[in-house]
Amino acid sequence: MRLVDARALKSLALTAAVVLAFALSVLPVAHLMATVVYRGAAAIARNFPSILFDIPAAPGSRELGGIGPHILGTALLTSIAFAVGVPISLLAAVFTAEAIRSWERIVGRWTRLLVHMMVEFPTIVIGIAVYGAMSSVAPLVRALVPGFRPFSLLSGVVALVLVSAPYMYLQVEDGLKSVPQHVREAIYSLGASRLLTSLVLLRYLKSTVYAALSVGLARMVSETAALFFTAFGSDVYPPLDANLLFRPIGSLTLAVYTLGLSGYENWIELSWAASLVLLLLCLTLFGFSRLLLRGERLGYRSPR
Amino acid sequence: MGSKRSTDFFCLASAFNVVLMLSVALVVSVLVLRSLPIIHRDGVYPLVTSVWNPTREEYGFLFALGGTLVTASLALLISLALSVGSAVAYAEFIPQKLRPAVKNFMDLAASIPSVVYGLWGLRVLSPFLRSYLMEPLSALGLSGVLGVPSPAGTSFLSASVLLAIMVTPFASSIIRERLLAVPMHVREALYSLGLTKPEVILLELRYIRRSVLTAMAIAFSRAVGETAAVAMVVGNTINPNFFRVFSPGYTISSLIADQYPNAEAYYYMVPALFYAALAMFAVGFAVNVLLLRYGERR
Amino acid sequence: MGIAVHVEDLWVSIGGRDILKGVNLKVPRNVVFAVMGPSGSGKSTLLRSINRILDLYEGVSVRGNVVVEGVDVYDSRTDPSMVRRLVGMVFQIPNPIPNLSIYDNVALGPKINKLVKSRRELDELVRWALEKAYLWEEVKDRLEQPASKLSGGQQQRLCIARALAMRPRVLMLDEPTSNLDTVATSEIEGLIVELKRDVTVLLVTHNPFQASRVADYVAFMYDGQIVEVGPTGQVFTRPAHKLTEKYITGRFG
Repeated sequence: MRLVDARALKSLALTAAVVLAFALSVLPVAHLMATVVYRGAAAIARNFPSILFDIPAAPGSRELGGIGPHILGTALLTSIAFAVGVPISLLAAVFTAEAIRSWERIVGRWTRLLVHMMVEFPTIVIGIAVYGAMSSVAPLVRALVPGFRPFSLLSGVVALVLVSAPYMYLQVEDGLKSVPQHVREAIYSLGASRLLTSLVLLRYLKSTVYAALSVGLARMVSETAALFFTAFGSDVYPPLDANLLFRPIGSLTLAVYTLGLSGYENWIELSWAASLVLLLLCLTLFGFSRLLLRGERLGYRSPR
Repeated sequence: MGSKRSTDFFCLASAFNVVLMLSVALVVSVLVLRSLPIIHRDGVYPLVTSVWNPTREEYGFLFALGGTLVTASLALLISLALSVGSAVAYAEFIPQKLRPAVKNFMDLAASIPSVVYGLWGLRVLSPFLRSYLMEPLSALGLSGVLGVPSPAGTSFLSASVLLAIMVTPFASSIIRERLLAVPMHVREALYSLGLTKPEVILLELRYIRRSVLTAMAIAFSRAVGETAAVAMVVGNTINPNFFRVFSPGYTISSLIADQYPNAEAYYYMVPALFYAALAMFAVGFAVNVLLLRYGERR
Repeated sequence: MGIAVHVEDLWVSIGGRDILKGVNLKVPRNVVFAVMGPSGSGKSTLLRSINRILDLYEGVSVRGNVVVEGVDVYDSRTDPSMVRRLVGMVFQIPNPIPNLSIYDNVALGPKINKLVKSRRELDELVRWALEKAYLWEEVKDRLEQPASKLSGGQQQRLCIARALAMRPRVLMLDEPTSNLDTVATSEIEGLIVELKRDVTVLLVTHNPFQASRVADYVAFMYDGQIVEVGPTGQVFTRPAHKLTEKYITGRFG
């Protein structure tokens, strides 16, 4: 009977250890979310709604100011990067998935391999590589745009595209590959061209595609490291003129970073506010992609 | 399948594949090309020394390389325990009804911006670890070995714990899926031998050990490259004693993030930062190559 | 001649559906006892309820009594692991633990349940079990190879050896040959007849001819109930029930 007792003890110890590990992996994140909501909401409530439009107040002052330039920066960076990145990733994915001839297949295979590698690149590496490239071409660009510096909205957009397009590409390509061959054949049998077929397939995979795009967008919104050397960050509104693309610009993530590390209480408060805005954006995009994928799974099941 | 007529348009799409391939090539070649000046001047010297003195154009970043390896390894150890443990808890103890909620929560945790983790790590986690872990252990006389905590608690250890918290949801989800995918007939075989639950769980973990390894390798390479969160909690201090985990220091990514505003003021600092990035990239790349060779095929 | 397994008014439902509807069964010691019946009749569930492997599934509820070698299986104080050590089980799909070697597959049970005191004793036990399963000669030179390298029939005999190494009192086989070819099937059937000297064999099969070839007693099961039980000769020559007659003459479903 002693054997059984030892076993029961072991079982109890394992259960305890496992439950502890579970708690330790869930509770910190829960605490984080609660803190961000609590501190962020407090900051936003203190100076609502001008916190959404003002620039940060002087460091250490009693005023709070706002994160207006950073919200604008994130909006500009992500919307332009999204507009550039989506066509690239969608069309590259279509080409890879629908490649037939041998040269097409080779191109597809290499794209896939390289993009697979790129997804695991640290984003800081992508950031400084874009900076490196931009600063190399800066003398040439200055001939056209005298004020050009590598630290600019343009660099930030390029960096975000490189961070996010690989994700969208892989997701969409996986989706296209999972389309049953008979569906594809059915569309071809109607006499559709390859391009048209691809577009029909993308529509067939609508929710997968939208989910991939929303994950890609979330990555752009939440990216920090790739922007240090590119968008650079700024706490003031850029002049809205023809050179907008060539000037440094702020973002919510850069605001969380620099204001949070500043050591001034009013800036740290702003940092929490920016965190809450980021968290809400990510939550929304996350929920959106979940909703879409749930619909997708049901959609697949229903014909049977 | 494709008709001749349509091919011409379709082939235009290959331009976008070329864009993607070129950008990968661009990233790698820029890293190499831009670090050439300092490689040419100093060779491997920056990799093996810890003297960082921009005013004298000296850039040894061993302290950051060591900091990266120490924080990522420590994070890996913590995360191994947390992710295996929570995956087992999920597969064996969480009732079916609660599983979707837990799963969504873990996935959501993985999608919170890392800079938000960084702010929480700086303002909440670091002071907490300082008061409840580092100070008591230092009082026991361990500070000689593990270093003296900084007032804010920012340290290699804080960075490791924060990294572990960040990579665990992801690592745990891989292990969890594989654990649930252990075939029922294998589990039946084990239970039919009279094995108890802990014994079966240990054998199941052995059965999926390649997946555990894979999850951990990916987690490690992410921990190596993670920047914003680490740069906020590691303390950003030149500290050649990177084994003193209670003390603040640098990792490569935080060195780059912290130095970028003034990099252009010196001749060799930009190449030095590229060299450091190249070194970090090589570490992550090596892990991924090992993964391709020895990990499970995904 | 004592009773090895006694099942008394056993009701099992899975996900609200009744699978077993009041099964009664007495299995004497050291015989081959076959439970036959069409698929879906509840045979596998019956086996799985005897060693409580059914505990692994969700939404299962069990009413009734099972006593194995004097142990009340469903008593709240009974440790299911202990029951499973008393009752070895072989499954429909040969299921060696794929990442363990041939040797380790057999040694796993004795090692974990501490049946042996030394490596030598373990070696002997593994050899004994493999010999009993007629596998020793084929694998003695490659005991360290992964079990997944064996053929289907060999894998199934390995599973039998794995069960035997636990020194169980009862060996349950759940359609052990349904995934094997005819040669492997006749090997396993020969083995089953031999095994009754050491253990009580409880065999589940959907093939009445297999039952008639190997069993001393047969039970015919249909729709969660035992329709007829008796010595093999009697059931096959003078079936008392119309359904049984239809089944053993192959005019079923």
